[in-house]
Amino acid sequence: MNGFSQPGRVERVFWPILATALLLALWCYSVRWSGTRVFPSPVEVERGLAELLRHHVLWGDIVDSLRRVAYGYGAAVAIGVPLGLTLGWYPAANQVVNPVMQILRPISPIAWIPVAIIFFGVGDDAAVFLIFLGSFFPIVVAAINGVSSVPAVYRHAGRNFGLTPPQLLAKVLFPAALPQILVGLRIALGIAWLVVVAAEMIAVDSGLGYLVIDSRNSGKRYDLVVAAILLIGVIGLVLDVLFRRLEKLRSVRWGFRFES
Amino acid sequence: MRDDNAARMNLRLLLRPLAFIAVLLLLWEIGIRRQSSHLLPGPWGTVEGIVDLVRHGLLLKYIVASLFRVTWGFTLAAALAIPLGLAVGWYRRAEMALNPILQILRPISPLAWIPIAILWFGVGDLAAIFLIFVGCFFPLMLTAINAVRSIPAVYVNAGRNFGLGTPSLVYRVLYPAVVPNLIVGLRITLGIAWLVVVAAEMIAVSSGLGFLIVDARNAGNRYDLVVAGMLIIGVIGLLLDLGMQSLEKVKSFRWGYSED
Repeated sequence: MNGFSQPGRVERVFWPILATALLLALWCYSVRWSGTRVFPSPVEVERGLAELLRHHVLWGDIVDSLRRVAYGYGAAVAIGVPLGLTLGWYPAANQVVNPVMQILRPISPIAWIPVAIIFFGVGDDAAVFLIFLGSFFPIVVAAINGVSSVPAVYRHAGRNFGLTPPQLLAKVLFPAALPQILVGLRIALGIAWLVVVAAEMIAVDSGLGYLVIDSRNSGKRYDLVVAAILLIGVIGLVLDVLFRRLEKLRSVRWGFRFES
Repeated sequence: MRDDNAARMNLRLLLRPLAFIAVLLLLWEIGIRRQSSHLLPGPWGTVEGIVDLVRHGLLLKYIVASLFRVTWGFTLAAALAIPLGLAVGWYRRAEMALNPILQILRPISPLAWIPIAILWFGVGDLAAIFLIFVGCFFPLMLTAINAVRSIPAVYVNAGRNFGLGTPSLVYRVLYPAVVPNLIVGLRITLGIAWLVVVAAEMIAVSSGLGFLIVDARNAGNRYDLVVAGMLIIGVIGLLLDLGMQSLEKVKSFRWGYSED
């Protein structure tokens, strides 16, 4: 019974269900044992979730959150990947820009909230801006690292075949750097999902983050709070799984190994 | 002659980024001068803001408060998540059982836990530490699980063939194989902790750098202090990252397999 024996197919289903059931039972029992009136039990959370669904507020909030992530993240990808490729291609330019990026990168996107509100007012644009900031720097850094870790042999070979710099970038460097860029993109998507919830708790009045803070402030509906939190987790998981699918698809298409 | 050349190269390497920073600061100042509202500070106003904070003795106090929370939350998460993750990664069935739960809890933004943190711990240090703990725990545990799973079976089998008992197998094979991965995970997680502490301080407590930003904005629109706070957050985040990076170098040399 160590990490390297192969468990059977039944166990593959049995153990997760057992662990989840144990956790739910523990949760249920500790709510009852502590006699709390505020913190909800799993059953109450399930009822809260059903209530949210029935009032049709849930879909609106989910769509709002996803829309903000799509815009902010999309803009970060559209600007960050080309910029990172360019900087990785010209190390001299990278040396110039790098110190500035290193200082801007660790500033929590949340800390930009006051500035975002001045620039864009309270609303969607501010939240989109925050998500853009949060995902922009990881993407640029991943693209720079991706390009600079491409073996020089590839570059020389491309040059010997008479490729011009733009062709070299599009046909050799980008596909070679792609796996590393995709990892960066996936991390950035996780950060974007983290930032949107925080931004919605402070800067706007719709979306899943707002649902969490609003359910607490208007009448201590902690069943709705926990329901919304679990939903945030599930959607984040779905985004991650979808991205992994994409990763597999793309690397098959564009990776070096499969190009003729 | 060669020394002279090298010195000149070094000087150039140093001068270009500095020139770039100077140009950015100049653009910032010009942009501020041209706009009419005078809400945002220029670079000089920001420096004055920092001096102001130092003079009131607030800067050091807030930095210490933020670092205190990060230290506790991060250390607790590392102390619990790493041993747990290593154990779970070692036993295949445990990993199968817990994986779905971890995957759902991980993408939940730590900030979404704020209502629950306040419910359990009240407004104060403990709530902030709990949030940082939650933000660090899941990524660290997954890193530890993956680190164990990625040990080649050959290493473990070889260790067994040499007649190592479980304790010495853990100490002499598992531990050195896992450490490089763990340090990378710790570095990423420390970045997350620094991001979370700022956000938590904006909502849940009344000291620290995050509070500084929100307080400076709410109490009289002191945007010079807001931007000063952001810069300080960036610089400290950079220092933390550099510290972890140097740890990466030292320890991987000492403990990595390649050295043995």
